[in-house]
Amino acid sequence: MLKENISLTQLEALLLNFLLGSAIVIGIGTDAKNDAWIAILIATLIGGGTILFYWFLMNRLPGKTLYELLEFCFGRKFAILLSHGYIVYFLYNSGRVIRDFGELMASALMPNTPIEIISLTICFVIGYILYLGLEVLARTSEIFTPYLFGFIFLLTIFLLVSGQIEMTRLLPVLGEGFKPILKSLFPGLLTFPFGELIVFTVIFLNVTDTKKGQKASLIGVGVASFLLIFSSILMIVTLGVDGILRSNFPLLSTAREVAIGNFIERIDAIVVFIMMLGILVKGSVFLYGALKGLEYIYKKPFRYFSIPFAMLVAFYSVLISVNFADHLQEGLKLVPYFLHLPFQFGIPAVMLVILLWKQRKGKKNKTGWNYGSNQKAKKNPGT
Amino acid sequence: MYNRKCGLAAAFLSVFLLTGCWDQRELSTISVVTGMAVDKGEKGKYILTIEAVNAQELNNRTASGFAPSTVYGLEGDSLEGLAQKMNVAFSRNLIYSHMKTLIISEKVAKKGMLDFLDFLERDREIRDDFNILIARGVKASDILRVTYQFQKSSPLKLHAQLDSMVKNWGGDPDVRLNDMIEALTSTGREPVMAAVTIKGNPKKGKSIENMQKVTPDAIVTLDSMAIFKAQKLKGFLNLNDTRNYIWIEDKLRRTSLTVPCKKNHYFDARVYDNGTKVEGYLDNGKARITVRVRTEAYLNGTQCAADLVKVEVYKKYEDLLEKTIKKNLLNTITKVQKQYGLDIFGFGEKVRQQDYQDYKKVENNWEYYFKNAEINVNVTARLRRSGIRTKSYLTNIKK
Amino acid sequence: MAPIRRLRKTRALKKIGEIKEGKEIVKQEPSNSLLSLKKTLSGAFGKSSDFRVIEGFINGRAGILFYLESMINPKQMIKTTSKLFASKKDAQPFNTLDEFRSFSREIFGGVRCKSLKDDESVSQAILNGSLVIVIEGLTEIVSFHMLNTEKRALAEPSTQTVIRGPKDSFIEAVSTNISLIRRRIKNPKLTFEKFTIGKDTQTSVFIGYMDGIVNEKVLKELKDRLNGIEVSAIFDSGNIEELITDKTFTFFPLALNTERPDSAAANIMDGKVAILVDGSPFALMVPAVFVNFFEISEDFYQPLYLGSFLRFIRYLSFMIALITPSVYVGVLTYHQELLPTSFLLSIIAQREGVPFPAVVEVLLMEITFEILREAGIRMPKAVGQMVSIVGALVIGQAAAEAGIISNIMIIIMAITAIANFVAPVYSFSSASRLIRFLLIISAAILGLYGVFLMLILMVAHLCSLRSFGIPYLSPLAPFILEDQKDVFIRFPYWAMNNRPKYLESEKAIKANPVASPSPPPMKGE
Repeated sequence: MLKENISLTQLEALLLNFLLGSAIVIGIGTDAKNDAWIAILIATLIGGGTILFYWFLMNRLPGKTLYELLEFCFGRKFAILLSHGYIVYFLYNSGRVIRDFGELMASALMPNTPIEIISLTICFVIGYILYLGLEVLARTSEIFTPYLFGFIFLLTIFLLVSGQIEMTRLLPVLGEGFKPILKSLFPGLLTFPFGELIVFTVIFLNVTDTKKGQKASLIGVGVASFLLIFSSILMIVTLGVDGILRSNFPLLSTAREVAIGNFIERIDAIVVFIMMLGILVKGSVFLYGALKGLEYIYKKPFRYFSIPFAMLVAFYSVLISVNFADHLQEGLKLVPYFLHLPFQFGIPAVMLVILLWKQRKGKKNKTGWNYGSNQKAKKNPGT
Repeated sequence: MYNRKCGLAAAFLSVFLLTGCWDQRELSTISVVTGMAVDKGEKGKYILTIEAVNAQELNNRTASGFAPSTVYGLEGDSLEGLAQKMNVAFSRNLIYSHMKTLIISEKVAKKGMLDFLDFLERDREIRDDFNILIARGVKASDILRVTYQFQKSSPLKLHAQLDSMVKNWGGDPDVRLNDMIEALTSTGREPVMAAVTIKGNPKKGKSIENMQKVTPDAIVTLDSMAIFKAQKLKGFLNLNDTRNYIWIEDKLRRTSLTVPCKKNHYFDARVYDNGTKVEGYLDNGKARITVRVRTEAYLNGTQCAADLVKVEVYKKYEDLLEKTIKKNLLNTITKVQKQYGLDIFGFGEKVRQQDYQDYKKVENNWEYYFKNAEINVNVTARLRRSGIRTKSYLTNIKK
Repeated sequence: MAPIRRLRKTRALKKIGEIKEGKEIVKQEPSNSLLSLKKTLSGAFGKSSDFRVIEGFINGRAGILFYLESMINPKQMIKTTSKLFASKKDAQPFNTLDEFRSFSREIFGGVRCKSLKDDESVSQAILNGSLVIVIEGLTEIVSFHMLNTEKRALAEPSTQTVIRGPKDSFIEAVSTNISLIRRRIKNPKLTFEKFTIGKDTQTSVFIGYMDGIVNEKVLKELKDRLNGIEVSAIFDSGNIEELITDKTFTFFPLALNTERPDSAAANIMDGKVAILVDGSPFALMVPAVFVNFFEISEDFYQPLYLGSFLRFIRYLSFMIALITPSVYVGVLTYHQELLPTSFLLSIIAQREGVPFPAVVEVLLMEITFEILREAGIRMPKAVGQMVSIVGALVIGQAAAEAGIISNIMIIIMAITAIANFVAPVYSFSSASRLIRFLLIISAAILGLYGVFLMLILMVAHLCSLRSFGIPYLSPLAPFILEDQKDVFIRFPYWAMNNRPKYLESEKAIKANPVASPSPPPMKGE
């Protein structure tokens, strides 16, 4: 099988869609009230650091995925165990993203349609895209990107013209000091959406130019954060803090405010569908991460798994939680501590330490190093 | 390979074709609800009356002279339940997404029973673009029933009427659901609503004949503005005060101000641009509020003989204009301070934004500070031009 | 000696006479070889009444002429045969091949002459419109190319018309088509290679490209695919298109077709390969990407802003043709809340009394329109007006007046239909035409959500397509900044100094970077 290549622009597009994905749907940093944008600004710096950290980790052994790195650090047996952990983690996240979208559709557009159908249909599309491969996913997200930009741009213009924007709603800046910002940063903003970039460790090796890849990733994270900050400000100045806190989907509520001359109004369906693009990419990237893990473990091309596992994701996205409150609470209270932190930072940190130690030893003792890399080459038919 | 493709296609088709049309509603089976009226019930908590329009009658090409809409009311404990139960009388599926006007009866508002707003905010179909009005002195459901020549359906008429009113004179606070809820949840602001009433005989207003008369038997008019304390209706302000209110709120689009230039002689300034800034802070246990108004207007009619080519005359008129605006605004604010003690202007919010640390201490007691607040009104008015005439003909009348 | 045409399958050659170059004289060849040839050919062509055999004496030697009457230019035929047989009785019978050659040069002048060696090539020569002459005692069979060159005169293009620009178009004769391109590109690098495809029809297929510019990988791939074709008959470039494109099961055409020589030449200059098929007035251009189907050569003949604006109109019409009916269905049956109130009320008033659900109404009208359209193309021109009258009456008035169809539906259908005709390449409009129905059905099932899902599937499908290895959506995805000069808007012609990068052609630079004329400085500067 030929290696799939994605260009730097495509990597940026993927990162952009991924980070906006569900973050723009449910809103982030709301703990910081009307200083949410400051919180996201700070989180961006951390996010940039996070992705550099992942790059640093992956660059220790270029051309390897996260799973192969695990094997290098822990040996195949233990790596398979951890890989299963990661696979389930990625599938779970994919399911969460789909669920977010399902809830959005069910509450905003199609209240009578079973959420199962919405999950199933969108997962089918995801499965189909992944069946076509990573390149297609990257190109698709490239096509989506201008729509995201155009949408946010138009939304801003529309809101300005409708006269719904009151800049004074941003005041007072830092009224309560830095405490609420810290509260929203850790672990909220740190792990979601920025920590979730861990899944890109499976994609980095497909980037054509790994040298420039780091810069491109930083640009991607930067642009995405800019849009997140921008939309956060947009929501605050349109809805007010209280309005945001009472909305399940703040951006949707914001878009519902648009009304220009009895003609451009009621654009919320379009908003939902634009959000769908981000969701689609985010769900796909997570699923891709899981599929690559399956490829590593079972040594079968990931395409074979794509449709069945997409269906599994659809199934679990419905089973994940009993109702919307459960879904949100799970996402805010449990997941960050029990899933995000260990998988996003814990294991990679341990891996980095082992890697650095092994490689230093490897430099001194050449055979050890060769042993490790040969083994990798043999055991990986898929890449 | 072909087998797999066929399988893929089959899976795809089954996903799509086996799903059904849960949210489908054919256009010929729906009826658009344009207005809701909430009255106090006797057996239940509320009486909900809705108006569903007959689209064919609203379209001049297809109209055939039947009633433009159907109005029906039901009694019960919650609006949501009643809204869905309406098919006891209506044959079609009702869609609430195009509701234009919500009318609340004075009685309901006085009892503070506005908790149904949660349903209106929560429901996905109902949007935030309808006018919320108080029916002053009449039953809310009667307002829905009064017909009108142009829009035919009363809610549609009110929606258009208030919109024109805002654009030409002001006098409608233009309150939407979001504003209402924002005011209810904020400590530094009390809600307001426009109030309408029926001039004429409500009974006769229900008929189609009402539309055929030059002077209708009944017509819905904008009456005043209702002031709330939280969810409770506390009183009404007249239209002039309402205009002053939106002047302070910086919501004024255009208006026409009549200013005395001599005794019993007036000139009219058409205000076409206005900007108001409110500054507020707490100083030694006293709130100090400064309202800065910057107004542009043109002179459009004078009863005094004025030579409107001279800069001095303009200057004089500007001074008069400034004084009048200042007087009007101060009057309204003092009236509200003294009579109601309710911060409908959102001064508290301004203080919160500008002096957060001090405000936090008095947040729960803001009403007291508002009553005793020191208000300063600062007006800069500019007369830019004077229509298409220079000197008034009054200056050279041959006696 | 003219090269013998390549044969797909080597057969045991049956020699008629020995090949003896030049001087050798074969005096008395047994005449039964002559007769046996006559017998074989008569056996092969015997039933065709246009197969002619003329026997006679040429300069004293017995000779036989074989030809197909229908293929040969009659004037030329009469002129030459009369000369051939009228040769003086006392003339020296030629003894050597050389003598025969000089003799025939006298009679045939510059007509292309070929020596044939076996049965098959003889029958091929006859089929290609040659006069085959066999002369007793000569080792060679000679054919003279006298094809009846009757062909349609150059006419204006019938499907890809322009307001401003060259008005000629390709015709069925491939040699003319090649000359039309050659006349536009006077460059020895312009190469035409011949393939013969179709086991039974033996159709000539030419590929034309600029040597040194074309992407060699694409060229090699194309040659491989052409050589791999094993079908019995090729009649049009459409057959070739289906056989060589990367994917058959797609709504989107993966090869560009054009009947305009200027657009073919422009594409060749960009680094594409043209495929010309004998008998087809449409040339194929490969590789073709999505955006090519919105570009026409006229964009560069029109003023700058107009050219760009027309591009925009074309993309817009594609979207309109694609999604209008399905959005109509989706909004009207699922999302009434999205319409402004007055618009909704007016639609409700119009649809009052329409007995069908919106989706049935749409499908009914779309199918009716497709029938009308097909009828309009197939029916004899003389009755063509009937269709427009009946169609306009049936759709436009009767249906609406009878209350079966709402007026708004007719507007929707009309705009869809007109937008569909905007596609500059007819085969591309089939994509929006067919996908439209899929979209309508998904709109009926899941509303606008269904429409969006379908569109995303379509985008994913488009992303996965390739035309001769070039991603179909390039230069949009993968995004290539330099190529945006000629996508949604067109840049000034002098700014187009790069060949499209997505084609990966060998030579990237087209011209000197600065070719922009600059006027003399303004007075006072």
